[in-house]
Amino acid sequence: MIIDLKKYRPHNSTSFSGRPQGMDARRDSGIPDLDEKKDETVKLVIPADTTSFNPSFFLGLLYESIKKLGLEKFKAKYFWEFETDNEARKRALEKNIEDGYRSANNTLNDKNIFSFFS
Amino acid sequence: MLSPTDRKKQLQRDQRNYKKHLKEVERKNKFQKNSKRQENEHRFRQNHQNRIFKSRKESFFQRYGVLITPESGEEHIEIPENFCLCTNYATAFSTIKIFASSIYDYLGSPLTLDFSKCKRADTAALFLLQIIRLEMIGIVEDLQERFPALFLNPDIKVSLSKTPDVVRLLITTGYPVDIEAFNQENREKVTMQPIDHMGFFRGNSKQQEYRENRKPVVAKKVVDYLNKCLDRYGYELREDDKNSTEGIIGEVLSNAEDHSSSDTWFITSNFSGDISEGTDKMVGELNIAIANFGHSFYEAFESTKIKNHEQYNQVESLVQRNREKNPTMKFGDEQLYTLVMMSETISRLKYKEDSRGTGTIKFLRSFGELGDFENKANGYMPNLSLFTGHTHLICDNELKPFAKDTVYCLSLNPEKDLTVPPRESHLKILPEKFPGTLLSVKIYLNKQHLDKKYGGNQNDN
Repeated sequence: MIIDLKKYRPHNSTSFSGRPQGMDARRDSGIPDLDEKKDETVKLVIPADTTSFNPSFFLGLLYESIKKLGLEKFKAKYFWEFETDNEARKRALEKNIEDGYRSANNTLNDKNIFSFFS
Repeated sequence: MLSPTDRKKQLQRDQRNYKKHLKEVERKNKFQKNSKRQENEHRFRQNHQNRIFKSRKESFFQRYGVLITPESGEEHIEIPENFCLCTNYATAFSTIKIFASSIYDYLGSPLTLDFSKCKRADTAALFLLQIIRLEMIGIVEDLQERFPALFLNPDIKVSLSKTPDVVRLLITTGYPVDIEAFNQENREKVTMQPIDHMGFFRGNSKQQEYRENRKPVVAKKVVDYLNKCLDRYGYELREDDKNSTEGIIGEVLSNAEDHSSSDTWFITSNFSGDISEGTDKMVGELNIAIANFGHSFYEAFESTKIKNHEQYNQVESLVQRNREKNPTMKFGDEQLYTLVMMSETISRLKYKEDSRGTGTIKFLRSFGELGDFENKANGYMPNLSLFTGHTHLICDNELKPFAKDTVYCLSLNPEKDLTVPPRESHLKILPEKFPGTLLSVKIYLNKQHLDKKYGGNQNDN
């Protein structure tokens, strides 16, 4: 299964942001149903001219799946494809995705500032 | 002596005359009654129209009611010597309120914004003044449409400052100043040259569907604007810079949409360049300002106190612990709660979605990544100022977000500890409440610094 995220990026823009918009894209692309299909892998395609993928959109789109499947199983099921040939752009986007995973993992493991300063 | 016949005739004549007189009196009375009635009716209509106008005027301006004190406006608004929200908040904010009240009080009259005595200004204050000007003109235009017989549109004139750097900022925040003439006249007096003005954008939090999402569109406009400015020096934003710029804008606007009680947000950006040491060593000053009116961070957090009790209690305990350890600390709950809310995983909507609490720290981190060039000798010091309610929070290269294990935090002290008081230079109590949130970011871009940071030009296609 391939989900081309271009559809969820507004016309005349190069970035993804906004939690409600991420959640809206999640519903529209049928990700909750895909989570149920154990053997199916999903490719998430980030269009070539994308310059940033912000955590608000990332978590709106994918957090519920990560929560449901666990991070490891999620990573085994969902793959990213960066359409860009620009290595610097790809690195920046990979950093955004890693940041999204880090945030999700913190929430799942209840890691927060209160663990350090209470 | 009159004959009986004549007397009879005389009597009949007198009776006729008397009747005529009575009729005349009656007619006059009737006329007077009519004209009084007409006058009363006219007065009633006028009062009614006045009442309608007054009530329409009040309801139209209600959105900015918090900034307006009726009858406190002035036709000549003198901008103070230091018109900076960052360093002179009370005076600058009260001037902005006087301006808002002046438009309200003096509909249809000429107004003057007099910058002639102003020697220092910042983008935050000029941006806020511009938003108020543009928004209120819009309101007056709507009102004018409803009452075409009245002349309501304001005529606002700007008297320029004698300080070139203030004029530079006026240009870059979109005030009507001739850029070419300014550049020719002041080439020797200022190091930063105004390049262009991006304009103002507004968005709406009701746009919740991905199709209506305006945040990425505005973020792209800012990036395009910056690239257009940098292109003059044969330079362009690198991928990481674009990513960070969009990180700031996208996440601040997402925050505004998710947490503010009002629908609308505003954004502008401006750029000036210093090429005194050659284009290769060019330093660009980038300002981004974003505002919305409505709840402050603290008010928004308080508004979900009951539903969000678990998170609320955790924040309350942490603030309490800081207070117990530091009983002489002068900050109120509002400032300390706001500071704790900046850190990752803290959200007023935690009870709804447990992954909340990433946006604020993302834009603070993006500022740290993009704004790491500074040159104190030339006064090029990056700064992020957040005004919300009674809190003014400042991040710079010295005190900015840091990672504790995998969680990003902000403590505003060198100890990097949220149970140690924040620096008073970086967390301030605002004497008058800012009715919403205003974020002002100042970043300096330097080609040599970026080359060094990224190891040469990394825009490899």
